[in-house]
Amino acid sequence: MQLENLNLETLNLNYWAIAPEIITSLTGVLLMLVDALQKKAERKLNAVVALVGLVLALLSVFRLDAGGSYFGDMVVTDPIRVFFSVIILIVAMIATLLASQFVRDEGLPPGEFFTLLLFGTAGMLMLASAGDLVMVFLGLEIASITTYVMAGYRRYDARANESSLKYFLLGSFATAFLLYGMALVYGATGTTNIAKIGAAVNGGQIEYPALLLVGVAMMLVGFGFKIASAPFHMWTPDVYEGAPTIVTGFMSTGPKAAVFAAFLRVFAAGFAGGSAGLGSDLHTAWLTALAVIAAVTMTVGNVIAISQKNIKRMLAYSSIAHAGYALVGFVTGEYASVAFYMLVYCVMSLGAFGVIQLLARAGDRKTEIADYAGVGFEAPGLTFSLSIFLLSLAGIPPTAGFMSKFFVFKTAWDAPYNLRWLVVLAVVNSIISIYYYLYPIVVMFFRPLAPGFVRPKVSLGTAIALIVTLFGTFYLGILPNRLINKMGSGSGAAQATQTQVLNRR
Amino acid sequence: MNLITITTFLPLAGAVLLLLSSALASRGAGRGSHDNLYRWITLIVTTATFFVSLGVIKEFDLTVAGPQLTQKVPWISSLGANYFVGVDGISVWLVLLTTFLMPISILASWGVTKRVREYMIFMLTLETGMIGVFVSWDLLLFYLFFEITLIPMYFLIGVWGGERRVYAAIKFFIYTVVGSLLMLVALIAVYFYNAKATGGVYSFDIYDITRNIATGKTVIPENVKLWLWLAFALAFFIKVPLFPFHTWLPDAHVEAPTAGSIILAGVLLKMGTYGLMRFNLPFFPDISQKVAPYVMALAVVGIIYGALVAMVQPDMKKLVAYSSVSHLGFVVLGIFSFTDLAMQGALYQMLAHGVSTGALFLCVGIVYDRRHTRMIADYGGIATPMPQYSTMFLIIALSSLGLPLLNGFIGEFLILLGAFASPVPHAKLFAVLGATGVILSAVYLLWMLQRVIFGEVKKRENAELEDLDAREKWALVPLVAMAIVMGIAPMLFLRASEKSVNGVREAVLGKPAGVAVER
Amino acid sequence: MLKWIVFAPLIGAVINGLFGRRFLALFGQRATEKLVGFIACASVGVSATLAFMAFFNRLLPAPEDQRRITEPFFTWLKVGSFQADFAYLLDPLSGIYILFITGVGLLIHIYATGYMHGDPGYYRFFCYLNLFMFMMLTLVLADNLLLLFVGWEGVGLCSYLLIGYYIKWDVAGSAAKKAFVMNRIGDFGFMIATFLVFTTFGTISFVTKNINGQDVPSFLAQAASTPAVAVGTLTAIALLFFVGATGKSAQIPLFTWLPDAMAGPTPVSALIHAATMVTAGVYLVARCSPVFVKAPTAMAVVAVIGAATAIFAATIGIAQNDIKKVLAYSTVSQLGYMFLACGVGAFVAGIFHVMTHAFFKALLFLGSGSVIHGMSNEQDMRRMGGLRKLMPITYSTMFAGWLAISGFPLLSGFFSKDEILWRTWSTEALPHSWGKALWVVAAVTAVITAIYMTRLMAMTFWGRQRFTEARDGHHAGAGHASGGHGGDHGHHGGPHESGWLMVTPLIILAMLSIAGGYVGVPVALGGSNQFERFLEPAIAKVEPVTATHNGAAPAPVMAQAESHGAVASAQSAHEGGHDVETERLFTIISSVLAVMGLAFGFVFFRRNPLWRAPKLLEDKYRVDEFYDATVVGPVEGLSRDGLWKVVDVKIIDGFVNGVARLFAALAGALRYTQTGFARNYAAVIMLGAIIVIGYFILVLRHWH
Repeated sequence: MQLENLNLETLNLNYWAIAPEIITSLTGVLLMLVDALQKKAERKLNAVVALVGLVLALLSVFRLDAGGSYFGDMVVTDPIRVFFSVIILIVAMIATLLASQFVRDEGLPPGEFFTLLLFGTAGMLMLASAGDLVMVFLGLEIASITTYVMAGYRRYDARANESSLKYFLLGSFATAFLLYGMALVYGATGTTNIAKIGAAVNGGQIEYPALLLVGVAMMLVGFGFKIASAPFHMWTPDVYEGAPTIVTGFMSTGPKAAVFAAFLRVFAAGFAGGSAGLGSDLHTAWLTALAVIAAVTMTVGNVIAISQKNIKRMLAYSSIAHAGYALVGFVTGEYASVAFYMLVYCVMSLGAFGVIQLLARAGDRKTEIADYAGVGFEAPGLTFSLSIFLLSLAGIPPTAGFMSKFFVFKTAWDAPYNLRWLVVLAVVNSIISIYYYLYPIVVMFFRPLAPGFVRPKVSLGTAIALIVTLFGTFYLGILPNRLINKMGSGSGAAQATQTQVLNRR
Repeated sequence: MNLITITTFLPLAGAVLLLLSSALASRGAGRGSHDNLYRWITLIVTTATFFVSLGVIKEFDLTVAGPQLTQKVPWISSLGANYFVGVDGISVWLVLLTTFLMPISILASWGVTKRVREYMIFMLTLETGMIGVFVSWDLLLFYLFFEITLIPMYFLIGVWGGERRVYAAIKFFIYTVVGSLLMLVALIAVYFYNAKATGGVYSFDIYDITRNIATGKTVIPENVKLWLWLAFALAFFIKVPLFPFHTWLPDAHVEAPTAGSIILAGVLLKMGTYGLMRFNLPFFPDISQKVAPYVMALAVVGIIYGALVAMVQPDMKKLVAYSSVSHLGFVVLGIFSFTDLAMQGALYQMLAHGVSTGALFLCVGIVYDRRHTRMIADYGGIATPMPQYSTMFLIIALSSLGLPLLNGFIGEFLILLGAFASPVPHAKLFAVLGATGVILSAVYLLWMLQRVIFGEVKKRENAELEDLDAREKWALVPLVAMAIVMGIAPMLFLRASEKSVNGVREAVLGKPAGVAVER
Repeated sequence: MLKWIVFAPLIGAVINGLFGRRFLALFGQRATEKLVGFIACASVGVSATLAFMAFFNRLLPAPEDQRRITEPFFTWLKVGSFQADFAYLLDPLSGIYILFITGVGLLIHIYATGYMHGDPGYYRFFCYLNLFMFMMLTLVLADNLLLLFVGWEGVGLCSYLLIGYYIKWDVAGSAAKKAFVMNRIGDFGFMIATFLVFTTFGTISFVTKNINGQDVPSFLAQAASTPAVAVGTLTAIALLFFVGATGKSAQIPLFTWLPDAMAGPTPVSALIHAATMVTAGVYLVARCSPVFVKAPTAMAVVAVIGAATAIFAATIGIAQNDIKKVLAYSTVSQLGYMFLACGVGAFVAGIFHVMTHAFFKALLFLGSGSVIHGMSNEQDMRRMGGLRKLMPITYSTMFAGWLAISGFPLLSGFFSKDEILWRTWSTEALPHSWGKALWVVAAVTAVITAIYMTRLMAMTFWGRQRFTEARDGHHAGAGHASGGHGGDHGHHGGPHESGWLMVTPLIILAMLSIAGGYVGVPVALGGSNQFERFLEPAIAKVEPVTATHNGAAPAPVMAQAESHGAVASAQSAHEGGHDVETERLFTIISSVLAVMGLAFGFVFFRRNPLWRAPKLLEDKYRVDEFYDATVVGPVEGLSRDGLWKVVDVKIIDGFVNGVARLFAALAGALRYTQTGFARNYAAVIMLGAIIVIGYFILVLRHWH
C-alpha cells in the first residue's frame, strides 16, 4: 500500500470484515481477566468462555460478505477466507474441548493455555483473511509464536522444551526466508498487496524479474516449511513427538490450514497468470516446483512412517504425507478440493490425537504403539474411534478420508495440465500408507493385553469432541454433498482465473 | 420403500440394534451374559433379510436385461454420483446367495464365545457391504461397498482367527487394497472419458456408461485402454483369486473363523468374478477380446495348479482353499469364453461354489469344534462315530467335484462346453486342459474323504465324537438340499440370468448392440 | 411308463436311505432286514415288470422300423441352442439292456437279502443298490448324451459307494477311490466327445429334437447322412467315446480298478462289476455305432484294444488264487471280447455276448458268493476244494456257468462267442489280414478262458478238502476282509449250502446260462438269429473298408431311414459274401477249442490244483506298480515339492514379502536422516531452498 493516499475514505473500513479476528482476540484478553479473578476451583470456566468466544467468532464468519476487500485491501473476504476461517475455528473449538481435560489432568494453568490458543487462532484467522503480504506475515508470526509457547507448555517436561525450542529456531529460520521473499517481491513489483502484485505480474511490467523469481522461490520455501512439506519437513516429527499430544493435534491442523489459505491466495492471486512471458513462466515454475514437492512430500512421509514405533511420530509423518496430498489439490488450482481436504484432515487428525491423548495418559507416558497391546476391547469406545480415524487417514471408505482423497485425485486427473503421474503416485502412496495405519489396529485388537491397563476417564468435553470428530468423519465421508456444492459455487471465481490462464497457454 | 434398499440395509440396522442393545445390556450383568441375546438377534435379522431377498426374486422380471427394482437418489450431485441400486439377472442371484449363506454362517459361529457382540456386529456390517456391492449401479457407490467389506472381514480374521491370524489379516487387507486403489484411478478415468463423450454430463451410472460404450458414444483412447483394463482386472483377479494372485487366500481361509471362511469363499470371492462380468467386459470389449486367450490360459493354469496343490495339503482348510482357486478358475475361464453357455455356466458356478465350498468349510468347522485340529492326519474313520455328518460331508464333496445331479456339475459342464465352442483363439485347447480339473478334483476330494471319514478309527479321541447336533443340522441341511436342488433344476436359476448374461456377451462381441442397450 | 421303470428303484432308495436308520431303531435288526429287503426288491420288481411290459407289449408288436418309444419328462438344461432333457428312449438296443438289467438285477437283489443277512448296514446297502438300478436304467434309457452321462457317472458313484461299503476296511476305501478316479479319467474323454458332438452337429440327442422351434435331427442320423463332416472329427469323437468306455468297462489301460473293486460285497460284484455297469461301455459304443462305422481307424483301435485286453486279462486270470479275482479278470477278458466284436463291426454280436455274459457271469459270481458265504468269508481257493458234496446246488449251478463261459457247445456262451469269433474272421470293417490276426488272439483267449475256469472249478469243488487244515489264524484276516459283515452266520460248523433266498436266483440264472443263447442261433446253424434281426434297426452297419477308402461310401442304414429291405440285404451281405460252409466250419473249430481247453484244464488241475503260475502273472504284470511309479508318484511329488513349496511359498509369497521388506528397509534407512539436531535440519532446509531457488533462476535464464 502506498503511504501518500492514506485517508479514511479510500481505506474503506468495515469492522464486520474483521469481526472473527476481533472476537477471538478479545475473548483471549477476557480469559486472562477471568483467570486472574476466579478461584482455582472454578477453572472449568475458562474453557467455557473460550468456547463461547469461538462460537461467536464462527457466527460472525457466516456474516462475511463474499468477495470484498477492506482496510486498504489489507483484508479480503473471499470464499477461501470463509472456508478456512470455518476450518480454523472448528479446530480451535475441538482443541479447546480436548484441552479442557488435558489442563485439568496435568494440573497446568488453564487460563494462559486457552489465552494462547485463542490468540493463535486469531493469528490464523488473519492469515486466512490477509489480502496483503504484510498481513500474511503478521498473522503467521502471531500463529507461530503462540504455538511455540504451547509446544513447551509442559514446563517440567524436557521433551516438550526441546520440541518448543526446535520449533522456534527452525520456525524463525524459515520465516526469515518468507520475509526475504516478500521483500524481494516488493522490490520487484513495488507493492505488497497481493491483488496488485497479481496485476503487475499479469501486466508483465516487471523491472527486475530476477528479484521476483527469487522472491517467489523464497516464499515457496517459507510456506513449504510451515505446511511441513519435504524437504522442509524435518522439524515435524521431533516437534510433534515432544509437544503435549493435544498441542500436537492443534498445531498439526490449525496453523497448517491457515498457512494453506494464505499460500493459496498469495500464489494463485499473486503469482498466477500472464498470458505469456514472465507471468506464465513464473506460474509454470511454481506449479512444477509444487508438483515435485508434493510428490516428494507424500513419498517421504509415508515411507518413513512405516518404520515408526511411536504413534505421535507416526502421525507426524502421516501429517507430512497428507500435506503432500493436499498440495496435489493445490497444483490442480481447484481450491475447493484443498479446502475440503484440509477440513477432513483436521477433523480426523484431531480425533486421532484426542484419543491418543487419553491413551497416552498424563505426561504422555504411553506413546509407543506397543503400549497399546490388546487394549482394543478394554476401552472399545476409544479404540474403535481411533481405528476409524486411522482408517480415515488411510482413505478407506466410507470415511471422510476417502472422500477427500477422491476429490483431490479426481480433480488432479482432470486438471488442465497433465498431473496423472501425480495421481498414480499418490495412489501408490496410499497403498504404502495402509500398512502403518493398520499397525496400531493390529496391536490394539489382535495382540494379547499388556498387563496393568486401566480404562482412561473420559471427560464430558473430550467425549463431545470425539463424538463430533467421529460424526464428522462419517458425515463428510458419506454425505459430503451439501458442503461440496457450497464450495463449488464459491471457489468457482477463484479458480476461473487460474484455469483460463492455463488454458490460454 | 425400495425392496433392494431394505435388503441391503436391514443387516446394518441389525448391527445398530446390537450396538444399542449392548449399551442397555452392559449395565449390571457381567460380560458374556447377553451373548445368546446377541446371537439370536443376529440370526433373526439375517433370516429376515433372506426372506426379504426372496421377495426380490418374486418381483423379478425375466424379460429385462438391465437393472430393475431400482432406486435412484442424488448423492453427490456435483459429481453426478447417485445412490442407485437395483438388480439384474446376474446380481440378483449373488444377492440371494449372500442372504442365504448369512444365517447359516451365523449358526456356524454359535460357538464363538469371545466378544460375541462385536463379532455379530461385524458380520452384519459385512453382509450390508456384500449386498451393496452386488446391487450398486453407481461406480462410486460400488467402490464404497467394495472397500467397506474389507474392514469387518479384516477384524473377523484378525480378532477371531487362528494362530497366524495377524499375518493373514494384513495380507488379506493389503492384497485387496492394492488392487482396489488402482481400480479407483481407472474408475475415475472412465468417469471422465464418459463425461467428455456425453458433453460434460458427469455420471457414475454404470448402466449409462455401459450403454454409451456399447453404442460407441463413449470412446476410451487406445493408448490408455489396456492400462485401465489392467487396473480393473487386477482388483478383481486378486479378489477371485486368479493364479498367481491367489496366495492370500489359503492364509486368510486357514486363519479365519469358520463363518469367516464360509463368507469369504461363498461371497467375497464372487465380488471378483462379478466385477469382471460387470466392468471389464462391457467397459473394454475389444481389450477383453484381445486378452481373452491370456486370461483363459491363466484360468486354466489356476484350475490345474489349484487342484494339484490342493491334493497335497495336509490341512483340510488349506485343501478347500486351494480347491476354491481351482473352481474359481473355471468361472474366469467361462467369463472370458464369451459364449452364452460358458457365461451362464460361470454365473452358475459362482452360486454352486458358494454353496458347496461354504458347506465344505462348515464341515471342516464342525469337526474342528470337536477336535481343535484341521490336520487330515488327525482324523480317520470318523464315519463310524459320525454317520450323519459323514453322509452330508460326502454329498457336499461330491457336489464340489462336479457329480451330475448335484450343483457343481452344471456350472463346470456349461463352462467347459461353452469354452469349447468359444470364438476365442485356442479356446478348445483351454477347454480340454480345463476339463482335466474335473479328474483332479475327484482325486483330492475323495482322497481327503478316504483319510478323514473312511477306514478304521485310528485315534482314540475320534472314537466317541458326537454326531451332528440340531444346530449343526439346521446349518448343514439347507446347504445340502440346495446343492441337490441346484443340480436337478438348474433352469430355475438360469432362466432369470439369461437376458442379462446375453447382454454382457453382446456388449463384448458387439453383436446386435440392441440387447445390451434396451432398458 | 418309461420314467417309472427308471424311478421306481429311486423311490426304494430314498425310502431306505432316509428311514432305514429309523426302522433299525424302531423294529430292530431282523424286522428291519425284512422291511428294507422287501422295499428294495419290490421297487426293482416294479420296474422289472414295467420293463417287461414295455418290451413285450409295446416294443415287440411295433413294426421293425417304428420300434422307438420316446417319453419326455422335463427339460433339464437349456442354454441358447444347447438342450438336454430328462427324456427317455426305448428302442431295441435299450430294450435288451433294460430286460437283463432289471431281470438279473431283481435276482441279485433277492440273493442279496439273504447274503447281507445280519449286516448292520443292511439298509444302507440296499439304498445304494437301488440307487444303482436307477442310475443304470437312466444310462440305458437316456435319449441324449448328457442324460446318459448322468447315469454313467451315477453308476460310477454307486460303484464307489458299494466298493467302499465296508467303510472300516481301508483296502475297500482305496479300491473305491481308485475305481472312481479311473472312471473319471474315462469320463474326461466322454465329456470332450460330447463337446465335439455338440459343436459338430448342434445337438447331443439320440432322437430328433425341436430346439428353439426347429427340428434338429439326432447327431447319429446326421453322422450317418452327412458326408460333409470330416472323417477326422468323427474319428476323434469315436476315440474319445472309447476312452470313456475303457474307463467304465475296464479295458487297457484303465482296467486295474475292476479287480480291486472285488473288495465290495459279492452281490455288488455280480450286479455292477460283471453283469451291468461294466457293459455300459459296450452300450455306448453300440449306441454311437453310426459314428464309429464312419471312422475306420477308431474301429481298428477298438478291435485291437479289445482283443489285447481279452488275452491280457485271461492270462492273469490263470494265476489268481482269490476266487473273486479270477472272475474279475475273466470279466475284463470277456469285456475285451465284446469290444473286439464292436471293433470288427459286429455290434450285435457284442450286445449278444453282453447279454449271455450277464447271465453266466452273474451266476458265477453269485455262486462264488455262496461259496464264500458258506466258507464264512473265505476267498482263497487254495483253502477250498471238495466242496462239491457240501454245496451240491451251488456246485451244479456253477457247473452250468462254467461250461457256458467256456463256450461249451450249445450253451449260451457258445453262441455269442462263436458269433464273435466268426465275425472277427470274416470282418469287413478291417483289412482281412487284421481280422485273421485278431481271430487267432480271440481263439487263444477262448482256450485260456476254458482253462482258468476249469482251474477255478477244480480248486473249489473237486479234489481234496483243503479248508479243514489251517483255517484259523488266517481266517481272521479274510473274515476281516468283509468288515463287520457276516457276524452271525457261517460260524456254525464247516461249509454249508446257502439258504433258498440265495439258491433260487442261482438256479434261475443257471437255466438262463444254459438256454439264453437260443435267441441268437445264427442262420448258419439252422437258427433264425432273431436277436440280430431285432437289433439290426438300432445299429449301424459298416461299409466295407475298401468302400470307405474311396470316399463314396453309401450312408449306413439307420433306424429311421431303414426297413426290412435293408435288413434283408444286410442278411444277404454276410451270407452271400462268405458261404455258410465256412461259418459252420468255424463253429466246429470254436467248439473244439472250448472242449480242448476244458479237457486240458480238467486233466491238469485235477492232478495238481495248487500249481503255481509264473510270478509275473500272479503279480498281474505289475501294472499298478508301473502306474504308481510313472504317474501317481511324480505328480504328487511335483505338486508338493514343486508347486506348493516352491512356486507358492518361495516365489510368489517370497516376492510379495520381499516388496514389503524392501519398503521397511527403505524406511529404516531414511529414518537415520532424522538426527534430532536442529542444525542438520536447518542445513537440509537450506539445501532444499538452494535447489528451489536454483530452479527458479534456471527458469529466469530461459525466459531471457
